[in-house]
This record gives sequence, structure tokens and C-alpha cells, in this order.
Amino acid sequence: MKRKMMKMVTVILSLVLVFTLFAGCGGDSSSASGPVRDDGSIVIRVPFASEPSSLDPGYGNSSDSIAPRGMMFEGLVRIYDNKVEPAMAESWEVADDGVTYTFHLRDSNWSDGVPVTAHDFVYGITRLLDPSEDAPNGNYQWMGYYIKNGEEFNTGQCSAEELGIRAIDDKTLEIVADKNMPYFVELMKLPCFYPVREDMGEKYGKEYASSPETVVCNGPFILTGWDHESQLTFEKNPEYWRADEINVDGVEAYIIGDTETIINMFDNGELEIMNTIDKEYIEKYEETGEAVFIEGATIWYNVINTKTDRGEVSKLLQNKNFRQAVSYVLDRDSLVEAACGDGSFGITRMIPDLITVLDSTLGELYPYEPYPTSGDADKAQELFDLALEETGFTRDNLPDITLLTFDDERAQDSAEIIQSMLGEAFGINVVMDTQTYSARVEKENQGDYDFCITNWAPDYNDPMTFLECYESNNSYNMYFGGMQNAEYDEIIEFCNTTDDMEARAEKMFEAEKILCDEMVGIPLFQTAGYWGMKTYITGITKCGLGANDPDFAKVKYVGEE
Amino acid sequence: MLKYALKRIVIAVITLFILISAVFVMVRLLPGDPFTDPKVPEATQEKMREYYGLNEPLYKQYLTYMDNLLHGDLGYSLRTQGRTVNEIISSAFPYSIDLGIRALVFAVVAGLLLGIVAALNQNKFLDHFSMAVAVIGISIPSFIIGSVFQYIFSVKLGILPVARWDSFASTILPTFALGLGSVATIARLMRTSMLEVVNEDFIKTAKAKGLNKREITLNHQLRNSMLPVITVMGPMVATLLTGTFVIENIFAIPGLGRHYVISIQTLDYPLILGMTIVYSVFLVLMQLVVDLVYGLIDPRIKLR
Repeated sequence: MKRKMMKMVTVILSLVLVFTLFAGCGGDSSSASGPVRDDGSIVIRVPFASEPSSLDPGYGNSSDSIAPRGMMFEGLVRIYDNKVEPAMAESWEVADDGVTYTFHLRDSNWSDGVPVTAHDFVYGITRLLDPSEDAPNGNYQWMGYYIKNGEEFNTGQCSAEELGIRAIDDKTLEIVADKNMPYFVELMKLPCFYPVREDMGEKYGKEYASSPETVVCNGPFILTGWDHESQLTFEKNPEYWRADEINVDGVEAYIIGDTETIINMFDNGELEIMNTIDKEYIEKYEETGEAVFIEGATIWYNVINTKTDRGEVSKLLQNKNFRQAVSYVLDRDSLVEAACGDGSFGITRMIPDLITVLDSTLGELYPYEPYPTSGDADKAQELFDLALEETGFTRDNLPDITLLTFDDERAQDSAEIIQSMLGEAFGINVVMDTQTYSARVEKENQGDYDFCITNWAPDYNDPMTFLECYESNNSYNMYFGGMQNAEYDEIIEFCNTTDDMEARAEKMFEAEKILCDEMVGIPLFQTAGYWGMKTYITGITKCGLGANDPDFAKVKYVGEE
Repeated sequence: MLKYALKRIVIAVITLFILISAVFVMVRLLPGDPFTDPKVPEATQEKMREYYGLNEPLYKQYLTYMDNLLHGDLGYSLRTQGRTVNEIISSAFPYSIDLGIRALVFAVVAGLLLGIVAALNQNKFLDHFSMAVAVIGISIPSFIIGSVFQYIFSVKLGILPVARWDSFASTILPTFALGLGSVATIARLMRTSMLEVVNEDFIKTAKAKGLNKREITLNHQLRNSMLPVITVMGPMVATLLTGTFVIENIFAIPGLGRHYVISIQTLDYPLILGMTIVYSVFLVLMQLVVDLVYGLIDPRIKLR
């Protein structure tokens, strides 16, 4: 009996082994290369770094959910090359009051053939801001505060009827902005301002867009499958107004966390794009013509805490000469090369050159470089000596400085480089305080830092997105060193209320100069980088401003050359 | 035996209760907050905390959690909208189990074979060869093995897909990469154990009885050498079947592995607890199974 069993086990085990071996020789069936399927359809395959937290326009918070929603939906406008292009809105005008916008919608349909109307936008935005339990209540609600009475409605102080948005007729939408902002139209690109059809929104509530069955799409693609944590499948939306120009039948997005895997799949012809190219591979893909450069608009800073009482060291931190000395001593060129090396570059002004001002860019209208990016050691020592004199410290009895940083390679490398540069130049002992991202944010908010490595991505294409952080009463003030400067506050107040856009531009530049003088937030570098796209694809674009996610509305397969 | 099993189950439940309670408190002690975001106004963050009940006193949250847990409800994940932890785990678990079973079968078959071959050919070529394979398997971390496999079999030879879990071919590389470490562990244990058992009295008795070598090896030596292997099998099964971050990440397999890491990074409290429960239940269960199997294999062990 026992012997029989033993024999059987042996046979089974051998079979399993043989089977496994055979399998090893067998399958090359699925490693298809190229987007053209056997049946002639073209399916683009792209990687997503993680599972979208939600596809509901009224909810989504993570950047991973921006690209898929841009495929499924379309707002009033889209952004290409940092410029606004008409999308669902064919045209628009601003009234003389500078805050009333009238959008004229084009003729287009939802994926089930029902026309897209102005009411869908009204419903979508009302739903975004709706404070009731049944509404999505996502963390992008505050974006709706740019609309008149948005905050009041969201906090229960007024009714939905008083919200600054209404449908004049089926194809005409009126939105009243909270204040005169030149960047208002651009904001309408954001997923939170996408239309939602009332019948769908009411029917599915919080379940809206949680599966292909619970959503209708007005964008270039329709969601047809969502295999959680694994794959999202999209099919071309034949009802999309520009459907004729899209010759791709679908998109498959695979959720892949490992960048090496993405590179291998890209090389193997299993993916058409890669979202970033690590620095060591940039050259390789530049040679193949697959690397695409993108200038980002995120700036990394070393923020100095001037507000909280940190004991003895606060004397130094609150000394302007000291802060300027730190800015002069930093060789940003070598810092960025060592910490990033991906195309990011040193910057000493507070706002990226590419930000739009009037009809031009900041760099064109107001070129400015207050500090040399490679540093100025002599000037730094001079200012440092002055600071010592004013604070009563000597080089022998300097207090330690705590540098708060977080678990990101660039943040840690930057912190280490700053630590060594300050140690070498001034003999200051910089103590590292490395935290997780959210712990860093919490400490920063509480003012529990001397120096802090932080970064800021623009929320909209206007210098104000950077400038307002330093206003005394702004909720981000403590993240940015807690500067209290009455003159500065006055300028910001002026810029936020004036209708004279030229004076506003002038004043904003003035504000930037104050910041460069105060040096509470010391700019280190501006991000830039490469991503990869196969040469047989065109029309997938990324916008450096805001979230760095691909837009597929103009995707085209052009074939191998 | 039944009494023993019951006793163990009671102990297991108590262990789990203590573990869940400890983890519940410990994750709250982690610095940071799941909804902290410099871009989101404090009022909105507060609203989200309220929605998920995180503004309640800790003991109240604990009681609610335990109450729900008794009804099999692990709560909502904080990171994804409207997905429950139950949903997340039940959609990811099958992938991990599938991969785990494949890796386990590979590990047991290959590990036992290597170990047996090595022991029977002690200090000969086959022994050295087997042990060389084992040393490589133990010493090279799985993320390197995974990447090297990808590079050789997919990028260079082009015979297998790089990643993803959508065809039989795509399961091969992750199975081998995940199983290799365990192959090594089993092979070494098996070899050592076989060589030890050779000198036991019952082998001498068997020889004295005049049994031939094949019978001795199969019926006495092998069976008695299995004990140490069975011992490591418990935690091994639990580890392989409940998902591994590295292999699942490299091969883009939507299993449980990534949730261990991401849930902690994003402070997704309910998901962290859910993952803890899944893993510990599995581990405790496997230990129990191992203990029971001891009794079956070695009659000298009396379970009380």
C-alpha cells in the first residue's frame, strides 16, 4: 500500500517536472511586438505607475488618475505646449468685468450618442463642490473655489443656485470666476471640471465611473475594462468630435511599478511609451530617436524657517544676510548634476521662465538671475561674516542646523550636498532629519525644521501659483518658511484684485524680487526630464506644467518607416 | 489529536487578536497622516478624516474595527475611492496563490531532487553541482534573479514575455524566480538530513533485515529525512502564497505583494491591517498544518 503510494507520488512529481520543462520551451505566443494585432486593429500599450485611485472626475486625487480620465473625458479646453486649445468649448469670451466667462460648446456626443450640453458641465461642477454625504467629496474640491461662491457652497454657506455657473442654453455655458485671473480658462482643463451627465451621476452616485458599466465618456476613448491593479482597457470613442483623426482602435494601460521592467518591455516591443527615462539610459534613447525632452515647472527649494522659535539657531535663520549667504554658497549646477542628472537644471529665481505672463512668458518679459547658479564663494563669505557680526556668533560657536528631508532620492541627495557645502564653506554642522513624505509635510506644517527640502508644482500657469505661498496668511506660508512681510502681502493683494493685467505683471515681478532678496525659500533646481515614445507613434503629448501625465487625444499610428 | 488541534486553534485565535490589536495601535503611531497633502486645504482633509471615522477617539475606532472584523468586514481602503479592503484582497489573492503554488511545486520538486541526488552522491560531482545551484539560489536576491531572467529570456532570446500575468508563457519566469530561493533551502536541508539519517539505528536494522538499497532509501531514509523540510515548509508556504513584493513588482503581477509596501507608504490603515490579518492567519494556519503532519510522518511524535 505504502509502496504504491510512494510510486504514485513519484510519477506525479515527475510529470509535473516534465510539464514545467516543456512549458519552458513552449510559449512565445503572447510576447507580441508592435501595436498592430493579427486582425489588423491597432492597440497602443502604455504603462501606468499605479492603480488610479478613482476615475470619477469629481473625486480623483492622485496623478495616476489624470491620464485615464483625460482619455475618457474632455473638459472645455485642453493644453498643448503649455498653450490652451479649444476642446469641448469651441470658443469663449470674457465680459468686461473680467470674471464672467461665456463658453460656446461644440456639437459632440457622449459615447451613448446623447449630446453633450452645458447642463452636464453645471452638474459636474456642482457635484464636485456638493458638501452632502452622497457627493464624491474628493480632495480636489478646493479647485472649485476658483468659481464664484465655490467655497461658500462647499462649506454649506450658500445653495447650489448661487454657485457661479449656469447653462444659458444647451450649448452656452456661463461661469463666473471668483476673481479676475488670467489663468482661469486654463484651469478648465482639470479633471475636476469635466462634465458629468446628471442621469448617470444620480444613478450611480459614488459608484460613478467605478467600472465600464457605470460611466459614459465624452473623450477620445471609452473605458471597456478595468482589471484592478493590472490593466485598464480603452476603445476608441466613435462619438468623439475628432474621432476621424485618431487611427488607433484602442489603448491598453498596464499597471507596472518597476521601471526596469518598463524599459525591458519597451525594448521588447511590448509598450509604446515609457513615462520617464532614468539618467543612465537617456543617451541610449536619444540615439534611437525615442527620447522626448520635457521641461517641467516644478521647483525644488531649501526652505529656511524664519517664523518658529527654534532657540539660538533662530537668530541665524532670521538673519537675511545669512540666508543670502546660503544662497550664494550653493553651487546649484553641481548639486543638480549629482542629485538628478536627468536634464533638470539649477535656478535662482522663484518662478520658472516658461510660466505665462500676459501673452508671453516670464523668461521673455522679465529675464532674471539674482544669484549665479554655480555660486559665488567670496560673496557668500562676505555676507556670512556680516551675519555673524549681527547675530553675535563666531565661527567656533555656531549652532547646529536641522535639515528636514524625505525619503526620495533627489531630496536626500540634495540634502547631503547642501550639508557638505555648508560644512565646507561656513563650518556649520548640518544635522539631517529624514522622514517619510507625509511625516515631512506634517513637520513642515508645524514649523518643526530649520532648513527643509521641499518642492512645488504649479497648480495653474501663472506666477501667482508660486508667489501666493509666501503671503503671510496663506495656508502654505509655514511650508515656505513663514515669511511675514507687509509690503509683500500688499503686492499680492493688489495682484489678486486688480483688473489691470499689465500692472499686475509688473507687480508680480516686484514680488519675486522681494522673495529673492528675503531668500526664505532658496530655489535649487527646476525639474526637467525625458520620457520615451516609439517612433511609429505621434500625438501623445505631455505638458510640463502641472501633472506630468500623457495626453492621448491626438494619438496617431504612423507605421514603421 | 483532535484535542491538540483545538488547543492550537484557540491559541492561534488569541495570537491573532493580540497581533491585530498591536498593529492597530502601531500603525497609528507612524508619523504622518493618510490625508496629509500640502495642496489640500485643512478643512477638506478634516472632512475626509471625518468620513473615514479617523477623527474619533482611538478606542472607539478600535471597537468599531473589531466589531466590523467579526462580521468579516475589513473596511474601506483610504487610497482608492469606494474600494473595500475585502475587494482589494479578494481580487489580488488569487494571483498570489496561483504564482505561489507554481513556485512551491517547482521548489519542492526541484529542491527534493537536488537534495536527494546530492546526498546519494556525497562528495561526488553531482553533489557539488547540486550544492552550487543551492548556494546560488540562496545568495542571489530574487530581484536580481528576476531582472536577469527578464534580460536573458525576454530581451535577448525573445522567447518569453517580459512581464504581466496574462498567458501561460508569462507565468514561467516569475515562477522560477520566486521558487529558486526555496529550491535552495529545501535542497540543502534535504541533503543534510539524508546524511544524518543514514547513521540512525533504524537504517541499520533495515540493512540487517536484508532490505535492498532502493527500499531502504525510499521507505526509511527519505521518509525520515522529510521532517526538517516539513518544518520549513510552513512559513515557506505562507510566504510564497501570500505574495511577494519584489517578484510581483518586477513582473507586474497584480497580486498581494505590492499592497504590503504601498499600504504602509500611503498610511492606508485599513489595508495595512487587512494585509496583516491575511498573512498572519495564513502563517498560523500553516504552522498548525505542519505540526499535524509531523504526527503523521513520525509516529514517535505524540501530539498533545
